[in-house]
Amino acid sequence: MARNHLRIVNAPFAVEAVQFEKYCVDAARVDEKYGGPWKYGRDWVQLPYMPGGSAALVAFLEDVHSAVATDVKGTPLDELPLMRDFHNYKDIALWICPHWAFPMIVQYVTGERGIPSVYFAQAAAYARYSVYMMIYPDKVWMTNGFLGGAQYEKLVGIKGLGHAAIDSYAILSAVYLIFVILGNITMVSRIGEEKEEEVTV
Amino acid sequence: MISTDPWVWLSAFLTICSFTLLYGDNPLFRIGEYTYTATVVAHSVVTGIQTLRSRFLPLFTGAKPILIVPLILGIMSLFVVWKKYAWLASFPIAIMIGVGTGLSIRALMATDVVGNINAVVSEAGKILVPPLSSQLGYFVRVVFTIAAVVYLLFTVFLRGPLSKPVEYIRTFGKYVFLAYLGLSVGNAVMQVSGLATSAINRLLRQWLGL
Repeated sequence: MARNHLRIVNAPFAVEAVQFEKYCVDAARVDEKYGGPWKYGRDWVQLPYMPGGSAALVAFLEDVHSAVATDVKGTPLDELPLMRDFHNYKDIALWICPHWAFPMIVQYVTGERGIPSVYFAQAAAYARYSVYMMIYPDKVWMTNGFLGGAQYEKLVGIKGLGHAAIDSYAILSAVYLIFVILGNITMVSRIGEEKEEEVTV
Repeated sequence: MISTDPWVWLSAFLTICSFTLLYGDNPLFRIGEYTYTATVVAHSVVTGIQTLRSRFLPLFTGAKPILIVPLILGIMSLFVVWKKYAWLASFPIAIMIGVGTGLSIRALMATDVVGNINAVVSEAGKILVPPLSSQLGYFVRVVFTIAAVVYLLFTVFLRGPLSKPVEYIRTFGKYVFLAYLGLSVGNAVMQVSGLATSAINRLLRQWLGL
């Protein structure tokens, strides 16, 4: 995204999201390696936590400057060049959700306002929320866990956290599969024993 | 090369403390657990105070006098801990629930109900469109959805000629739910294994530099 000169505004609607979103930007290493130099205020902005869940999200989409007055460091939004171009949902080209609460994004951002959304989902979240890709084909996009992250990195030609973790994750998945098979064999082999015990009692 | 960053060492120590639970409950795990809990609570409190300060600043500067309303409602909600005046807290809670329900009911209907029905109808039409792998995928999704819906809708025993077929579909719907349950548990396990993998990965790469 940095290579394509896309600009990002991080808008946290959960307490822990402020640190997490900053971590995402740092981990992407756009400033030092991929697509930089990326300048704060001009290319990206980190907003403070906005309490209120869906009500806060709707207020933010309708009027950004009324919903939040400063960035996370306390700088008034009007002093940041990027935020001077950002007023409401009509200025958003894409919504990226890197954590849970994706249904809220699909409902208010994609469903009601037609903005495409991308979700970098954990494996469990992918299974639960992938139905949104069927509800809004060509509007909602998702990657699936570490594997999806690594695939995305390969697609855009970078090596990041996805590549770093995928080998160990694949080995661990094979170990889990062995445990699942062993567990099922143990359970099946004990079925007869349990029935015999019931008869005895 | 092993890390010289004290924060990485602290992170590694707390990660190892968490993993010691595999051995059983022990003082090291307690240290990790209490540190995590205390950090989360402290972080929430500090973030909450900062948010309050930044949000109500326009009220005290006179830029937004309307903010007196949420301030009063916020103070009223604190009375929930005082039994005699707890009724005062019911007003802000009612407003929050009302606003939340009003906002979500429209979006939920459009996305999760109408959107889902629309997707199933659309996919039913795609069953006839090759390639075969896509046809099979759409067929499974549509049949599974209908079976699961029948299982939930016909919870009472039906009499008459349709009772047997509906019963078969219901039984199939029950297996669909069991399959979904299995998939959910499997994915939850993969999620936890992903967290464990990233923690081990961090220990090996960031801390030990391997």
